[in-house]
This record gives sequence, C-alpha cells and structure tokens, in this order.
Amino acid sequence: MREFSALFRAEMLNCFGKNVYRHTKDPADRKRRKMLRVTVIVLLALAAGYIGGASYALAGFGAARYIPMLYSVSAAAIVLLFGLITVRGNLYREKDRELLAAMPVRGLPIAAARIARLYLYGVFIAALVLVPAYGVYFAFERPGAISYLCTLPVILTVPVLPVVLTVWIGIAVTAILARMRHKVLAEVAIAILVVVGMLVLPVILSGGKMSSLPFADMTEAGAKTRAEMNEAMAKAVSEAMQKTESSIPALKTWGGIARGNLAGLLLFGLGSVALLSLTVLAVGFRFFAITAKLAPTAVHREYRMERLASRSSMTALVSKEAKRYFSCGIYVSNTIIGAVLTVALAVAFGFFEPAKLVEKVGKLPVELHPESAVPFLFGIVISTMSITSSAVSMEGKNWWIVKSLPVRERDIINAKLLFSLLVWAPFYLATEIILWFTLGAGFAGRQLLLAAPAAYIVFSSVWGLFCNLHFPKFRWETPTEVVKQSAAVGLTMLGAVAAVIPAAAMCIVPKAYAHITGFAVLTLLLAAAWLLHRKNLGTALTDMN
Amino acid sequence: MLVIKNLTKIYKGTDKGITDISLRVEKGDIYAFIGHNGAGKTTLLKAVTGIHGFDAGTVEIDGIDIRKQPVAAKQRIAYVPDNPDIYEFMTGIQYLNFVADIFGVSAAEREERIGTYADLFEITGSLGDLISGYSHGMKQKLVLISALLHEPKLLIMDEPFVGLDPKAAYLLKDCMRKLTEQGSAIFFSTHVLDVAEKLCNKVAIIKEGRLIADGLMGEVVGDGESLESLFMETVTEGE
Repeated sequence: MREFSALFRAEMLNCFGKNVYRHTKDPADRKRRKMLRVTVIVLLALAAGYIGGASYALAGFGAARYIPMLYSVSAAAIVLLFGLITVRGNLYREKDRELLAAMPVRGLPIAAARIARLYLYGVFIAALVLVPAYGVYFAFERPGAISYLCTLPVILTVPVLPVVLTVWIGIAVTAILARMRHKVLAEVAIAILVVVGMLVLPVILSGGKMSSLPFADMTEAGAKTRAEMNEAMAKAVSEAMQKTESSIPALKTWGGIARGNLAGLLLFGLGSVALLSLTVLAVGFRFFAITAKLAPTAVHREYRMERLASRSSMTALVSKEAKRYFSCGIYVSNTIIGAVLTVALAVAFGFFEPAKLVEKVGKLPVELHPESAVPFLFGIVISTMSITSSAVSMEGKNWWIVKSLPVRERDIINAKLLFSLLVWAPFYLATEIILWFTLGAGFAGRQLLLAAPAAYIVFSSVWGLFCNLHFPKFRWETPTEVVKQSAAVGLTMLGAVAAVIPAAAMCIVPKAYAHITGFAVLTLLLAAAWLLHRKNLGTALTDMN
Repeated sequence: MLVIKNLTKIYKGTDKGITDISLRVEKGDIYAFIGHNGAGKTTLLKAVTGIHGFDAGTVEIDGIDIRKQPVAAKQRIAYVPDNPDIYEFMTGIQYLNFVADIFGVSAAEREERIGTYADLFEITGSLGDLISGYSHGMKQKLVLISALLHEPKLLIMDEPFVGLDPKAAYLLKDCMRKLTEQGSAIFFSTHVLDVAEKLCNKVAIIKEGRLIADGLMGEVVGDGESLESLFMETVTEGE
C-alpha cells in the first residue's frame, strides 16, 4: 500500500500540469499555462453546454427518458477513445521503465497506480458528459429518488469497462507496433480504424435502425402546421430511440439503471469492480515482463556511403517538417482524423443523398436552408484539427537547430505552413472529386463547395501557427503534452468552434443570397488569414525560448 | 572574426544573464571560454550564434552584425551545443544532408566531407540508423561532423569534449588545429582546463555574468602558474 500510495501520488502530482504551474519561475511559461487553463475551462464549458443543449433537444422531442442510456454509452465511448490514445504513453511508457525497474518496487503497485490514474481521468470525462445530461433528464422526467441516488454510482462505474478494454487493447497494440517497421503508419491506421469503428459500430449493431428516422412518414402524414410538425418529429425521435435501445444491450442496461434498477446497478457495479481488479492483478504481476516485451526493437543495418543530392533550403525545411510529422504517431493521428472524416462524409453524402433527405424532411419549423451550410460543413470538419498549432512546439529541444541555421525566420514559418497545406491537399482533392460525382454537376453550391474547404484549410493553418507562435511549449517530455495539452492547441480549437458560426448563419440566409453571402464570408476569412500570416512572419523567433 | 562589444542579456523576471561583455576572436585563434556552472557561458555562446536575442551591445561575425544580417552571419559559423539534442526522427545521413542543404554545400563536397569525417569518427556504419538509437557520444560526433561540413569561418562550441571517448577527443583537437591552420577561428567553452591550456592561444574567464579576465593564454595565466590555479583564484575571489 505504501508503494502504491507513493507511486499514485507521483502519477497525479502533475495532473493537468498543476505542479509545474505552481513551481515554474518562468513568467512566460506561467502565462502560457494560465492561458491553457482558461482555454480548457472554456472548451469544457462549451462541451458541457453542447451536451446539455443536445439533451434538451431530445427532451423537447419527448425522448428525455432515453437521455441516460444514450449519454452513458457516449461517455464510455469517449473514455475508451481517450484511453486508447493515451494508454501507450501512460501505462506502458518507456521513459521511466529502467528507473522503476532499478527501484525496490513491485510491478503490481506500479500497474495499479497507472490504471488508477486512467480510471480517474475516465471518471472526470464521465462526469463532464453525464452531469449536464442527467440535469436535463431529471428536469424533464422527474424520476424517483432512487434514480437520483444512482447518479454518482453510474458516473463511477461507466468508465470501468472502457478502462479495462483500454488496458488490454493497449497491450495488444503496443506489442504489435513494437515489432513493426512502420510503427507510425500502423499507429495512425489503428487510430483511424478506432474512430471510424466507433462511428459505424452503433449503426451495425442496431442493424441500421438508428438512422431510420421516419421523415418520409412525417411528410406523408401531411403535417403542415408547426405544432403538427413538432409532434411528428417527437414521435419519430422516440420511435428511433426505442428501436435503438432494444437493439444494443449496453444501452438497455444503462437505460434500466437510470430508471432506478438498483439490482442492475449493483450487479453491473460489482462485475465492473471485479473485472478491473482482475485486470490490475493480471497486468501487475507480470508488469516488468510485459513492459520489457513491449519495448520497441530497432534493427541496425550497416550503412555505406551513397550518392547524395542537394536541395534548396526551403525543400530541406519542408522535408524536415514531413519527417518530424510522420515520425510521431500521436501527432499524425490527432490531426489527420478530421481530414479522413471529411472524405468519409463525402462518401456518406453519396449514400444518403442529402438533397433527397432535405426533400424528405420537407418544410422545417423555421425558414432554414441547411444545404447552404454544406460547403462550410466540409470546411469545418477538414480544418478542426490543425497541424500548425503544434508545429513550433514540436521543435522542443531541437529549437536551437533552426535558430542557429542561416535561414530567414520567415522561411522557417513558411515551411511549416506549406507542409500543413501539402498534407491537407490530397484529402481536399479526394473530397472534391467524390462530391463532384455524388452531388452531380447541377448542385447549386458547386463553386462554394470548392472554395469553402480550401479557405477553411488556409485559415486554420495560419490561425494554428499564430496560436503556436504566441503560446509555444518547448519543454515537454512526450509529444502528447504538445499535441493534446498545450495552450496553442486549445486556442486553435476555440477558433475552430467559432468557425461554426458562419456555417450556422448560412442556414438562415435566404436562398437567393446564399451564394453571394457565402463568398463574402470566405473572402473575410481569407482576409483574416492574410493579416494573421503577415503577423506570423513578423514574429521574432530568436526571442522565443 | 568575432567581435563582441558590451553585450548584455538578462533573462526576464530574473537578474541572471551576462553584463557588458566585450571580446575579440581573431582568425587562427583557438579561444577557450571558462567559468563555473551558471556563470553565463552558454548564454553568451547562444547570443553570439543568434539563438538568443540580447538586450544591449553588438556581435559581429566576419564584419557582419548578427542582428542586422543574421542569415549572412550564420552562414559563416557553426555551433555545437553542450547537449546534442538533434532530430531523433532522422537517420544520421538524413540529418547531415539536411544541414548541408541549408548551408548550400554541393553534393560532391558533402559526399567527400561526410565520408572523411564519418570515417574519422568511426560512425559511417551507423549513418543509416535513426538518431534516436545513438549513444550520447555518437550524437556528439554527428553534431561535430555537421558543424564541419561547410568549413565554417568561426566554430562555436559549448563543452565539446563532454561525452566523447578519448580517441574522439583526440581527433576533435586535431580537427580544431587543422581548421585554425586553414584560417578559421574557434571559440569554445570548457571545464577541461588542461585541454584549454594546452590547446588554446587565448582564454576568457567569466564569473557571475561578467568577464573577469581575457587575452593571450600566456599573459592571462602568467609565468609559473597554471590555468587551473588561476581559475580557482579568480572564481573564489570575494567568496
């Protein structure tokens, strides 16, 4: 217990960077960390607000009783995703393996401390998702006292299964990656598979019932007034939820627990605790053996001098950016998902035929034109995760190299920007080609569809760089700290959230003005990008440490 | 080759840094820069190479102001840091190629020089491996090769002998002598006072951010004294 206590304290000491924040003497670092805190709080508040809003919408359609089951599973999925992304850097980290192996400490407390940390992060995520969702559920459903009492146990048990899965999947993935030559490519492929799988799996499990909102029935029923429309929509949502709950066992379980099924909660809670304990014991007793086997292996090949070619300094800088990017799995997987989802979205448009869907939905309660926002939607999805928001920080301890080289500071900045645009280019082209075929040449927003994602990509790349140049983080131990936990990334994401506003605004613009308004918005976006780029080029890199 | 005038750099929020430092490194000089830990050696070297900005003073390399024409000034120098933190995601040969590209070294010249220095430091066989798998000494050798690739007019090094095996240290000293014989200059910090005394013709001593002695080795050290005893006398003075 003493060992566990010391190790757990060490694990949690710098939780959310609080220890470094408290002790740092560098005023710039302190400012950056303060900025990160503010950004994270704003993002968390936005996320909680979004969950609350979505729950409220569900409740508005008379589907409040399905909120707990829907959000319990959503929380579990987020915990699983978060766990899978961080498990290699936390549970099986290479960095302090030898340090701990040389200490008189057993594997069990190490594994227990690290899994406990994963679990606590999971509880935090579950609370963030479930508190606003349950708030709306309680307000609308007014369930019995037992349901209220079940809230805390539910928050505590929801992360257990995802954490257990994370531990075992983490071992399997780390073992496979350690033996692969192209580790990063495999890591990225797995990350994409996980995300796409999480999106597709619910649809497969429900046998496609989740997506079968009976819009056609609603319009066929001849619902014309707003009240009739709302009633028809509520009926449709309730039916879809009911079908979904009956199709997926996990949803059924969480739904039952939220409605006060104490026996279910007890059974599920005890089962979860037993499973977690068994996992801790299994991993703990073989911890050093497992981590030793998971250590990456490199094969030495005797090098013989080859013919070398010279390139321009800009090509060398861009090539260096590419090598760094593709050498870091967490960097690639964290930034590429948006681009992959954009292509997937374009393919989905081919299957679901949005024009027909809009036609099916018929007249909406208010005068909305969601089709006008489609080009912007693609722009938002492709540019949500920016490469440039970490590009400067990723230099880390190597920052001295480019600063000491005979290159102009603007070339260093331009190389980072150019590389980001080069990464997005194939995804942009693929999306446009797919949309060309799926939407047909007659689609009214054709030009906007070409321009909007391109403008968003440019703006997002410049904005990300702007944020990173103002909030660089050069002192880091793992790239996760830069890619996921830096002020620059948080701030860039806030910008991405703000980018939803023009898209939402496009929905209410009368159809006759949609085209011109769309181009006006994009012109403003590009003008802002140009101004930011000029500001970026004026940044004195020598003063950044 | 290197003229530093009244250089001052104080780190924000602290009183640490360097104050009013002036010195001159001529062609052919091997100039040792010594001082206790935290005295300001690395700060000065980083300011001279353009890695850090500074608050006051000027730095000229071959007559070129590092602040006014940083690219032209950096083209003439090479810097070897105290810790070889280099791109671990590259292989050794990729890193050398990258540096050669930036300095505009032709393909033929880089092939010849990389071949020569890599053989000399015995790391040719490892150049195809990722730098992340290199030992500290191998990384240090790679940084040294990258610094010598474009035949710099001024070589600035921060503790270059740390992590090198005796043979590599000997080879480095030999390279330093040859480079200065060709008209280049070397300015480096070190804690190895014996090496400094035997290898260098000039020396500067820094204490708490201020230069307390500088000039020709013979004049600074004086007859019958050693650099070590002088160093101990000067740095402990007033303590």
